[in-house]
Amino acid sequence: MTQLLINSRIRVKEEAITKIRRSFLQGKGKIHVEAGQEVSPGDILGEGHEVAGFRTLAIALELGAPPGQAAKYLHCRLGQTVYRGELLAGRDRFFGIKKRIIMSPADGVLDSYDEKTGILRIRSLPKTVKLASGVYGIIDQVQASSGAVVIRTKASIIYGILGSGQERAGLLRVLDAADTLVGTRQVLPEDRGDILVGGSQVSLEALKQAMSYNVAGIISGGINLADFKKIAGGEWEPGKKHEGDVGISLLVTEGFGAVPIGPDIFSLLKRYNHKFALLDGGQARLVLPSDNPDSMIDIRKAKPDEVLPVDAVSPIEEEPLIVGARVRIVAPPQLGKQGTVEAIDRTATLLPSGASVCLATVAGQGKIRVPYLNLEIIKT
Amino acid sequence: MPDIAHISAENVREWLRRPEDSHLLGNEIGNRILYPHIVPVLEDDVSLNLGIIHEAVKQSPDRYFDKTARRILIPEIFLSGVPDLQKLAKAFADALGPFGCTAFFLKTAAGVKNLGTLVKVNVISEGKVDLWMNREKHQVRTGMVAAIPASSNRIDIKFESEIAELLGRKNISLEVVGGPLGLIVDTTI
Repeated sequence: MTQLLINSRIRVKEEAITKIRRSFLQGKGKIHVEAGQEVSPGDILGEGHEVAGFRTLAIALELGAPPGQAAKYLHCRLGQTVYRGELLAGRDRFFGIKKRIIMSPADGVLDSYDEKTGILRIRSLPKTVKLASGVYGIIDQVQASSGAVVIRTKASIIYGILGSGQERAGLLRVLDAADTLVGTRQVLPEDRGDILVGGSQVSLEALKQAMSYNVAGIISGGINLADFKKIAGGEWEPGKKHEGDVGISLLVTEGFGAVPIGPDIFSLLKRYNHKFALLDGGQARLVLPSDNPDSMIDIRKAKPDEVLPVDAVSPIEEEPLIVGARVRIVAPPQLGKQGTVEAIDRTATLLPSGASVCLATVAGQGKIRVPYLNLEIIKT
Repeated sequence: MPDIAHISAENVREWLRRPEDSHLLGNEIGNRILYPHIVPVLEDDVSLNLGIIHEAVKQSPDRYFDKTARRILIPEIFLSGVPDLQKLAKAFADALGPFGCTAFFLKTAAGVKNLGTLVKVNVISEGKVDLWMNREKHQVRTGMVAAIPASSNRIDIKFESEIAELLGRKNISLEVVGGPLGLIVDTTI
């Protein structure tokens, strides 16, 4: 019997021993730990100085005022030093019944206001930052010249379909259900430094707002291609790592458009809600370290060949489709739906498109017959 | 898989039977890039694939068209996106705009297979063009694209016309490539 070969990919790797890289997001720092040393999540690996950069705030959008008029609601003048939490702007609405206020997200100097875009720019002040381990693990390597540390740890890993941005760490926060559209209303100032888990699609406006609030990253099932290109630096080369960084890391798990995050990934994200995570957008990978101290037992006894490297990716392989295989549909309009192969009709069926192909019956929330090539095996 | 990362959704839209929102169309193109092996289910899926292939071929003509040898190479994988060979060849011809006699080949993992030949005639005035294929006479009205079955690997053709030219001549005999596409005679202006 002829084998029906289809693509197969690991989407979730649970509780693996892996190496992770912890480094200062900006600038360099001095590392205090040594190779072989065991660390806990709260341990400080080193100290460094965050170089002065810029923060942007979409104040016109926030105040609900035209960009040309929003500057008059500023409570501080350009060039003035402001401190985190200080009132920057405020506007009374509906005869004073409603008031919109904007606080400074960081210490800095009000640098400029763009009357065309309504964006206020704050030049941040250099400050000392401490690099926390965030994980239970063993220091594998200290890269003193680049201010980075490689730690062997136990973690679950989610491999997305695409992403952008450098690696950022933060607490995971699941916003809503797997199929909700994420707009500006769901992204809040208190999400600063967090990795937000959206639903089926994240809008460009929500991403811009997240950037202005200094959110570390966003995970979504889908995104518009045009929006993704903007976030990825203008262009998109399939299969290439996107080194460009616009100030936020993005991970897309399913594809383009509004596609709910698959249940295999979403259930794991919910389990790790409010826990520490590392999002490498460029590699489309999320690392969810174990917060169980007992994980040190497995980390200590792991053999070198069992440890995943720092930049482990999930390659696409080919596997024969068999009854009972867990699959996801990769063609619209059912893109992202998951189920189990219940039957395979090995006699080719002529489709309305003119293609003649074997169909598989996939049982999920319902039963659906799909060309076998429009499936991808979910490898575990 | 063609390089479709930089193609314009607006140009693809012309090939669609139903107009589509630019975001939705962009997303569909993006998903074809992410999942290039998917099989079209509906006719609309084929229209989208045709539009994408047309744009991809137009962007990188040298990947598919050897102008010196007058050969168009269609990668076999394109047939999974557009199962109708004639529609596929038409999209290639439209994108590349060849003139004279151009042979079509299917590029497979094992080598190349003959598909047929496109005969693009230079029409001077309206009327009918006479073409003999293996001594059998065919007439094609100007402004038409006609397909003449010719499954053998090599075909002898003779072109004769007062109202059109082939390769700059009003009378010419040639041996061309045959195959599943046969002879496609294009007398459009």
